[in-house]
Amino acid sequence: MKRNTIITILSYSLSILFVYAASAKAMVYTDFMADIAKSPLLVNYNKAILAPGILGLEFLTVILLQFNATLKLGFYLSSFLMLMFTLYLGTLYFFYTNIPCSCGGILGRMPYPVHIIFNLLFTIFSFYGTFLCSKPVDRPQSAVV
Amino acid sequence: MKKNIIISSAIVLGALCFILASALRSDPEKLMINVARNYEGIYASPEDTIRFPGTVSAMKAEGDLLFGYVHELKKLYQYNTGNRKTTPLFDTQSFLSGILSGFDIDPVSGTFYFLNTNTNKIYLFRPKDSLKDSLYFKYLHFASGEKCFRGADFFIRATDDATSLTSLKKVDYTGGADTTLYTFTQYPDGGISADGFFIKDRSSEKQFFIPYYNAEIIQYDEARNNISKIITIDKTMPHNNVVPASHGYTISSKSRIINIAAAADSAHLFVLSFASSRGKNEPPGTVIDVYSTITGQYESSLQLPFFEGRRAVLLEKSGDRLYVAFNNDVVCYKIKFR
Repeated sequence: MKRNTIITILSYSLSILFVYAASAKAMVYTDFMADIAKSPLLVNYNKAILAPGILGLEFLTVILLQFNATLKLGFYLSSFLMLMFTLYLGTLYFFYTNIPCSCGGILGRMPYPVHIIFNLLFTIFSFYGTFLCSKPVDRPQSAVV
Repeated sequence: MKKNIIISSAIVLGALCFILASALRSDPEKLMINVARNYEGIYASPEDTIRFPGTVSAMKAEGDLLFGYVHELKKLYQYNTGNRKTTPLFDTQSFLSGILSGFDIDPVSGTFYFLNTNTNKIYLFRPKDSLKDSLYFKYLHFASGEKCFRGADFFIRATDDATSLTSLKKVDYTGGADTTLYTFTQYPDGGISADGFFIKDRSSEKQFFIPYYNAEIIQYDEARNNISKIITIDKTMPHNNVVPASHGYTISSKSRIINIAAAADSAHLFVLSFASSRGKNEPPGTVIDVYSTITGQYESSLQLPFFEGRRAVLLEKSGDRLYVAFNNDVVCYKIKFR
């Protein structure tokens, strides 16, 4: 498979994932705020900054993944976010008795081991994307979601 | 390529540091809410401390009298705020078996009602003529409840065996028709989202069902036969009580007890909350949130100190007095609204 095709597939998949995850959270924003407020890991963070910050970063990743000039940055940001989500869930799953997950929609309904593996897979996709973008990308700009 | 590896390593390191820092600062016991509580609206001053001979497991206040049930002794005690004397009223051993899930008083007839979910019976005792009786409904399994203000009905929480639906019902134990007042949405959580306790206020003829694990308090206005909701400031939704796990469901952090105890007067509902808010030191179980029973809105909060290292477990309100039980001891506070 051509490098550009793989990059397009990866950026498409990650964009769909982030748009879905961010929209699902935004649609039930009050619940999302209440959920992260009860997370034992996030107890000492200001939720008024954290909650919109997460949503903002997810939407920013989607925007960055749409343009060839910012594609690599988008993959970097995606790698960071996906790795954070994976480590967050993994830490809660393995070290805490109560496991809150603020994900909305179908992601929030996944069993935790499946959710962790799912996140890990998309983390690998994101890192793979950054390595594929080492050389200039010649991807058609119609990839805007 | 080299640059790529360096940036990727920085990302991994950054993410690991953030999670590690979060884990080191984590507090699994704390349940945080995003609302800044208002401590300016209400003031409480301690007036009296009442010591019972055992742990008070249920408490009721009627006028100047406070009734406390001590389960370990199976005795009901009465405290008179006028002469400040605690006297044993009667022993429940002769007519009550199993664990008591609540008791109620009808001050007009002087009858005490003891609810027992094990036997599915409501036991009656009238001390003035030693009348003992029990009410039983073969097909109705109740979990908790209160005597209605009017008639012989009881306001109870019951689960239908066939449908597994939990409802709040007005039940006529004399054989009349029952009324389903509210049916809880069913979630695969073993009934946690519909678990709670009852309190009532005689002056406004209002009954309240307070859920342990979520924010949706059900208010039943008996005089108007009207059901409404009061949402507590933590805003925990009932559907968040369980989360899917690899083998079925697991109790989520959201299913931690939020509302521990409550009391009501003609215009206010006092809820002892387990949730802490930002900006003030609020150890779990030390804050009472006050809601208007007329508008359903949050008004103010009151913070109580621990009593001999113990946190409050029961609340009761009568006139301007708020009774707070800490195991054997009940502290009486005078309440003033600013």
